Amino acid sequence: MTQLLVLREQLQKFYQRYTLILSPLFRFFIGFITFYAANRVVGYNPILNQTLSEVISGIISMLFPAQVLLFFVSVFIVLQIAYVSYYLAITTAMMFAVLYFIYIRFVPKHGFVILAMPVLYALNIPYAMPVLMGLVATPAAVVPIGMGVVVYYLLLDTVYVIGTSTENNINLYKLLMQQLASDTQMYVSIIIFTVVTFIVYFIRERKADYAFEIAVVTGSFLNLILFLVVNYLMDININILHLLTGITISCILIWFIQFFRLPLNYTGAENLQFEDDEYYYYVKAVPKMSISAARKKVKRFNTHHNVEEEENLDTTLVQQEEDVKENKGIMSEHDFDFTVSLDKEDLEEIEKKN
Amino acid sequence: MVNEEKTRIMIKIAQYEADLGEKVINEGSYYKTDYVRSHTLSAILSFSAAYALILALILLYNIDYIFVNFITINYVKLCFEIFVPYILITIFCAIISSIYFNGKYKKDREEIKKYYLELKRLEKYYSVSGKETADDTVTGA
Repeated sequence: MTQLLVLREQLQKFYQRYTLILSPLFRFFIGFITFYAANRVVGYNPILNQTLSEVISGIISMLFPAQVLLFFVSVFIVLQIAYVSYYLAITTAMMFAVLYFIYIRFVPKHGFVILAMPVLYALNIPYAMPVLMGLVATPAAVVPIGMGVVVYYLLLDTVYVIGTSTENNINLYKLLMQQLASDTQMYVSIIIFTVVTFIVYFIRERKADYAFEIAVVTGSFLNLILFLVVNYLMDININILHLLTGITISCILIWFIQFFRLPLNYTGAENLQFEDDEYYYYVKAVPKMSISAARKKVKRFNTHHNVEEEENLDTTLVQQEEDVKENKGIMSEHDFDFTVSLDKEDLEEIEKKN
Repeated sequence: MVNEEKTRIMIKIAQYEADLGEKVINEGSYYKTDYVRSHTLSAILSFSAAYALILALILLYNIDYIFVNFITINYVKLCFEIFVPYILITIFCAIISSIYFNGKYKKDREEIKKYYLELKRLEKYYSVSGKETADDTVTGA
């Protein structure tokens, strides 16, 4: 745990130092992943469905504000579908426009949740989103999550309809709508994700110790159990291995996000009581876990050169620096390397001699 | 010499500008009624566009039926079925939008007040001509 905290501290310092470079790099990475996922789901156009176009799209989304990414991805998907069916491309564009006019325009931040759902589906970790939203957002997040699920199944059903239909006319759209309306897996996913979001939110709001961690694990288990039960009862053809790996990776991912976001030290929790003119307060204060990674100087000496470098190391290394300084004369004349290993018996013997 | 107090004020101003955004700050000078009306109108236009697109999607879905029964369709009834829900949705949208943007105006206004307060504090460091005073302790005009 200490090492993780040190790592967290170091990463934060690293990000602060190189934020000018890392920030656009992250934007590029997110853009690249998004276009990569779009290609995995509806990669019809051979020009767009290649790594180079994904890289170029990533660079474009790096140069423009984050909100523009949504627009670019929508256009990208429409262009991919247009390669096989203009009718479906037009209707898909119309559906995206409706989504924008009635929702994303008013709550732009939720647009990213809608976008993230198909991306996470393509990476087989959609189970992470309801748990994450339960942790960091309000239950209202079920709306963009549900919309994201619909968008993903819309694309999936588009692929299915294009793959199975022999005609290319406006009837494709009718078939697509019928396919989407009868997609049980979509309804099931929306209901399960809604339940998981509410439960995770409910648990993390409790005053119990480790509420956030319990919420993450419970949310992940709930995802697993509900999908298994529904799969058993309704026979919706869920790949159990995919489900298990997806939920495990999601759980680990969210646990890491939670750890880097808000690590709390429940052992140091304090229960305070005080009053003012109107109220008597019972307050539970949980300190945040933090550790400052010490900056040490490590000097290396040999016959040819004398290098001094700074590294961030654990506090136990402080003494080594002093030892090296004391032996400076000897060390500079010889260049050698040795290792001493002591087991319990050796240590006891040394203690006896002392 | 760097004036620490002035730097602090400028940092706060930059933070407010980043949090609120240029659009919200510019709209700070609007009267409440103008602000609410313009945003409500914008919301109604958005919903109207969405409604028109949904109608177009429904039309495309039923295109075969429409072609076959082009003459027999009762257009009066159809218009009624299209416009009555539209009017109801528009009224509902107007009511919700006006309530929401009323609240938002109040909330934004409080933040903008804090922003202007910081601007006034910064203004004291400048003379009437807009030039920075040599002595930072002099408050200018």
